[in-house]
Amino acid sequence: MTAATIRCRRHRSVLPPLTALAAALIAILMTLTISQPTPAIAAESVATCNPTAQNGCVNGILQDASKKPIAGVTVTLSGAESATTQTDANGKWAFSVTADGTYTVTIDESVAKAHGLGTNTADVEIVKNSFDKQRGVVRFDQSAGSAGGSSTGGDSGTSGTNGSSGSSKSGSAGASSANDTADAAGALSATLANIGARFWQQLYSGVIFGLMLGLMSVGMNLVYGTTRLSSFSHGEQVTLGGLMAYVGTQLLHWPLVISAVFAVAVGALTGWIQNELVWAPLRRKHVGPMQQMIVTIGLSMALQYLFQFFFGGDIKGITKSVPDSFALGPITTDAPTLISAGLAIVVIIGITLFLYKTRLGRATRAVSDNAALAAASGINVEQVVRIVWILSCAMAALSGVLLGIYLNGISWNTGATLLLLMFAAVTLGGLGTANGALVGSLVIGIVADMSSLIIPNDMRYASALAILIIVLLVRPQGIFGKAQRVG
Amino acid sequence: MDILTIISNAAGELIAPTTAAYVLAAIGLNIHFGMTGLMNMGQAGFMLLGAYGFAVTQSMGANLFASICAAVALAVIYALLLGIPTLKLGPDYLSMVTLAAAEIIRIIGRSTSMTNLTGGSAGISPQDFTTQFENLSPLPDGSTTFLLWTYSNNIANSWWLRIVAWALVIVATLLVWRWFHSPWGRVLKGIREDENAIRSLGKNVTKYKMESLILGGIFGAFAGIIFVLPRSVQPDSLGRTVTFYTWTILLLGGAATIFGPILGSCLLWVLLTFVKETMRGTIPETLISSNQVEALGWVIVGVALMCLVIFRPQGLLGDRKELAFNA
Repeated sequence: MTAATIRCRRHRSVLPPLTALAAALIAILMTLTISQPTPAIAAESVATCNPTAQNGCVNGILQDASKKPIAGVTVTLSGAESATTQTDANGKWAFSVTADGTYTVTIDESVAKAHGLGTNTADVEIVKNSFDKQRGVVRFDQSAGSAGGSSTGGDSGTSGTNGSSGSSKSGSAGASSANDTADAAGALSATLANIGARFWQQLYSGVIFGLMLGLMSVGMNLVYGTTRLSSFSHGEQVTLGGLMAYVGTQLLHWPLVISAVFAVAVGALTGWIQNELVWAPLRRKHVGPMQQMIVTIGLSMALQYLFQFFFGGDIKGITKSVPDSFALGPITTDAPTLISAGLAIVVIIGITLFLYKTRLGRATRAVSDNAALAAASGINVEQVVRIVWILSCAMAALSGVLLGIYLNGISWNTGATLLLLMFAAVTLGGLGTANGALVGSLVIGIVADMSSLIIPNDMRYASALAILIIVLLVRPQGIFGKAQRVG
Repeated sequence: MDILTIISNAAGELIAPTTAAYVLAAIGLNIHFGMTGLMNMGQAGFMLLGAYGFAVTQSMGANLFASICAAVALAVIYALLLGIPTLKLGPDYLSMVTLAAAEIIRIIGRSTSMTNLTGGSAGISPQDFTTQFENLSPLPDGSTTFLLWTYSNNIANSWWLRIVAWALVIVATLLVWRWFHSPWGRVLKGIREDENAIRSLGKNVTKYKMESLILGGIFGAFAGIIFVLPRSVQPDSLGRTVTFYTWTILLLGGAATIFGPILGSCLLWVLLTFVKETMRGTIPETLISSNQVEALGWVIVGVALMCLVIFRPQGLLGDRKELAFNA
């Protein structure tokens, strides 16, 4: 530890190169925003669409005001790619698209009028590698309900020309207005024009995302605090939670609440089992944390592909219905999202109370602080670690359920995509500090969602990871960490 | 599917360019981890940068040597950027930063706003960057059968590429053998065992670590070039999983050994292909689909990695006393 402290202090002398690195990163991100239009490849009309790395989805269920499906209606997709399809007997329709960008979905105006729908056109933004923008669900019974970026395109899908008006950066906006496809620069200039309109919505979704990330990273950080293990398989615990909720609601036809409890119970059970079977024996054998970390990598790979083996590569929806959304000031939201956020807050407050008000919580913090000293003062360290593993995996499962509801589904690699953001959040807050992880998660969540106001949407996770690197340079122990923890 | 096809497919992996690419990547990782004890979790980042450096300059019409220089230069710059802030911190931090940085490169590379440079998520197709390399081949056109295997002489997944790739592996192995037994290599091993002891001897530990990071990164860049030559440059095919495969290979063969990467890569790919092909051949499609077989292959690698680290962390060739897991 002393050596680590020394290293940490010496590290301060490298501030100039780190600012240079930060500047370089920002410069790279900025220069990337000028680009060429992507060629428009025809989108495909498919029966059901599952987003992958190669394609995104625009889909929906056409229902009239009383939620009866409307069959045989022609749905037209325009924007970055275009195609048409017909709704099936259940009112379902889907397009598989290959280009990122803004799409406009249109149905015949007379159909909309006849069935009392609020609108006959809707815009969605598709970003293939962003798990909450790879699928755009369109509904016509509410005009405000479409996914983000609703003002970026007219009916013709020329978001570039539309967005350039009122933009302060006339240089890039002017250049992009010549392109009639929804390319990234067009989206950017549109974004610039709409920063005011989207600011609160992005802030809100950032906070929601941050809360869910918080549930995951608080648990991860408790594990790190007590065992010094950065668990790469924590993302799979999140996926497990979401998939178990799917098993509960869709395969066993249980109510959502019972399914969620089931998922959390399975999560807690896996936490207990893996501690007993893997981590406790490894600790007894005095296997170092770095070696254990590689074991978690193996576990992560094995679990991830086991999920794919059993559940396939597509997104599994926990709830089938699309919730009614409503406006709350400048924000559009829906009840499940608010309930999820509330639940996340309650659980996080509960964990904080547990850590600071109960004997066991105090013991946990003591182990985090100095395991040897805690053991010497009569704390059963193994018992504490066992409880931490159970708690952490249960929280990860809960966050998986909430995330699955919030994002309309969960897939075999959802957790793995989030793993790096968890690391970023944990490091930002301070490795081993439970509350730091929450603050870190909120910052990462907000930054990731807000950065899409400025940089192309598919790079927003890069901005969160860039924060991770910058934090390590400026304050390696994180916001709440003590300097001695470094190393 | 008959048993002969399975065996010949599996044995084909023994000399495949991808196997050689993984050997090179693992040799680079061996310099980082086996020699110096650096936990580089972003070897795929070096590979992707190397691949981009080579393919982008090639598609712009640069000559072959310039392209290779560009790939190496990118890897060196990347190593410097990563190393300056993190090498003085603990092993946790280097692993997280390398992992995150590799992911940033992939995210930026596949972004739609980079389409004109990197081709976005579709990547760069082979005809844009392999022509010069293929034209350099002294072999006649057509294809050749050698023992079990028939490949084209010059085009795509060719004999020419195999020759170049394994020649690179031989050169790299010779270099690493030389370095392992040089005074420089002994300092690196000293850093791995006890950094503070080396520092107290008056060595500039950070400088040595940086040299190690750069050298290993250069091998990563070469691995990236070899990896993309028989296919196309696709950012998603050089993601985190490639790094994890490389770690499995290194730990299977044995970290801090000269032949560990070669043995690990050949063994892993041959066995994995054999298991997957056998499953495809024997288990009916209705029971387990082809995609599921692919997933099972991954599960096997994951479990193998866990078991290796737990039960035989020194790998097949390694020396348990020379274990590089400290901290």
